[in-house]
Amino acid sequence: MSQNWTVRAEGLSKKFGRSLKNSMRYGLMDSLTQLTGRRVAGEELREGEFWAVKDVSFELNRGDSLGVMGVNGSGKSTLLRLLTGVYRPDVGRVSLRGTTGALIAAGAGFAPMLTGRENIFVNGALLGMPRATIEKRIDEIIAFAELEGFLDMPVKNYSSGMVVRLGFAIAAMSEPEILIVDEVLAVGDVNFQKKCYDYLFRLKRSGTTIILVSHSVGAVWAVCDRAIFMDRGEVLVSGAVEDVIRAYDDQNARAAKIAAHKVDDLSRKRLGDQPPQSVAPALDLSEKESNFGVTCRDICVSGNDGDQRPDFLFGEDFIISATVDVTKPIDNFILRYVIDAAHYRNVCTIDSYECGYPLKNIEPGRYNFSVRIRNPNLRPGFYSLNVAAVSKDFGLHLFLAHKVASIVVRSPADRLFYSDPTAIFQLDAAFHSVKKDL
Amino acid sequence: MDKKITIYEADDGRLTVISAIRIALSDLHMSAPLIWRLFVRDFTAQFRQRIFGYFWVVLSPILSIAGYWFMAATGFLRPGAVGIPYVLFLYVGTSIWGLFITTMVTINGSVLANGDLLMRTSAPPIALALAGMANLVYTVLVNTIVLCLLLAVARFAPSPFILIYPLLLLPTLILGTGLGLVLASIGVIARDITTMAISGFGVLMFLTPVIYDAKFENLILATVVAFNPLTYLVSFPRDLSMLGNAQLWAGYLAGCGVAVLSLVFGVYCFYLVKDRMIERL
Repeated sequence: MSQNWTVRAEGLSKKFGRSLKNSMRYGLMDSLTQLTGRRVAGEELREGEFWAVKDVSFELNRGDSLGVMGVNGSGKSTLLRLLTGVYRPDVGRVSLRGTTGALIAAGAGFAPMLTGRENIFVNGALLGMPRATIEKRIDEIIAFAELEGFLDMPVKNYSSGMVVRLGFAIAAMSEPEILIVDEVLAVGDVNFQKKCYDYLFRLKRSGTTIILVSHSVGAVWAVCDRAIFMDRGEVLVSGAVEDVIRAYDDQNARAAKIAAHKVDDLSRKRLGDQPPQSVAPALDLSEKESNFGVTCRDICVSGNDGDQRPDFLFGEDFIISATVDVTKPIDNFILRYVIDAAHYRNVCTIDSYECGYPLKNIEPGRYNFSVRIRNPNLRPGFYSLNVAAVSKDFGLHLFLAHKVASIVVRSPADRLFYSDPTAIFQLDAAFHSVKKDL
Repeated sequence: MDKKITIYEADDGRLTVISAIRIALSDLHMSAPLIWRLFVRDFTAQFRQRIFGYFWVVLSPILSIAGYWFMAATGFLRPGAVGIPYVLFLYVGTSIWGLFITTMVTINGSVLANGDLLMRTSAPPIALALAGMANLVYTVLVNTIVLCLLLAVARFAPSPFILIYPLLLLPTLILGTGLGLVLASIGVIARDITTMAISGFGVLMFLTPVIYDAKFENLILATVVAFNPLTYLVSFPRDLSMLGNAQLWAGYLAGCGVAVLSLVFGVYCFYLVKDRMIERL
């Protein structure tokens, strides 16, 4: 253990009841136990409880910055509340050396009927700032929040962005030795965001230890040197920020795949036996029949070795194979796959005709079509496949099924994709620079 | 490095009454500026966007007096010989009772109203719970001023002890605070407890000489009244400040003791279950 530590979390765990009923029951039981002078055992889960944070340990030194990442419900906020002393751990301990500031809810405690100016004093007091300090720095706060001309207006008439900007500006005037930040960097316009980052960078340079909780990969990458990736209360990955971002992205892609399948199942159940093709995907193709003589029986995605796999590394080749039953002769047959990304539909198509594989006519029989995708430039994420059979001579789809297979593209070890989680393609680009005198 | 080290760790179950009081005093001392600032915030905010503005503080008790006067004039209430004009008797009694109930409700309500701050800032919970009390101090002062006006209108000369009337209300405030902290501790976990408790205290009002001189012939009721500390916390300040009658001093002192004990118990309860309370806000 370092002698230079500023934050030390040792085996932190916190549990909660899954339902309000459980929470109330255990709350009353525990309170009575404590009132009678007995200790409440926090180490064991009781029926209906779960670990919101489990056995989290880390140590930070002066000037370190730690990013905390994880999907919703992974325990990030609970961990933050443990670090700020809002929640008491059920197991373990956290030690903080130095003054601590928290940018958890910029604007918490604002009274809507009071003016911005009046609220500055209230909020400053909540953050532990003496009145004299607030008075001395009020002009800085106003300038930082970019609210000149609005300070004597009731806060209830502010936009939500103005409220958060004012809250951030007040908090930014404190200069703690440990700063805990929760998802407040996406506030305001670009200029204001830049100010927020500048504030964090300035604190970092001055040796402040920063703990930043964010879903924004870019924010964590910019501010933090190290990160932890939490899932269901536990630290799944801990280490250099880039490694953790990769793990986080991959987990997000896998989670999107699971969520998509769940939605599909529920849609199928809700819509009964005749799901519209645009909504309800039929992952199980075995019972899907076409009226036009073509039925796709199976789709699988495999690697170069031929083994079916759910995920692939960025840039890794993969093969899509389809088993297709044809019951009558078809001229100018075309098999087409359409890829959907998590946020967008039809991001690209793989069409047999476009790929230079015309099928003039096919006779009845069972066919296996496979297509190898070389050096795919799909960025890490979750993608689903739709399959269609068409004929140049037939206006409608001979066969169409949505979301018949899915793939997860994992982050490569040697590159970091942080710039935009919704971007889909990584073009094969090469940067080049030449210096010229100004 | 000799910087301040803050440690948050699992509860060791060793909180004693003394340590709870010590932590509470330290928390209150540290957060005195915050309590003042929250008082100013709440006080200022409650009078914004209202026609009567600050006058509402005076108007409210005057309207309640009108109600009492009406009840007395119609003969709806027959309080017996109370020794002073009935409107004064009623006003003082209900003011003290109102202070007791409002204190409990305010403390409990402050915890719920400031739930967001408790979840998001490191402000001591007891400071936020007690922040609303500053309004009660103001209410006592306004009630005293209105009482003086009533005395002038009724041309009733009170005893010299009227000068310490606000001080005589202090035990009621303390009792309300203690019970309010207990209610807040449990009421946040099980929300209906507070409603039940306040309803229960509504019944207790009729066993306390608030709106009539509670001298029952029924032995059980008489015993309840005699052992009810609120009997003395309401009657003694009224008797002493109006008539100079200190006959109930022993009961009042006992009532003060009960009030202090309730405050100590309330603080202990609050700190004992504070963490569970915050988790369930």
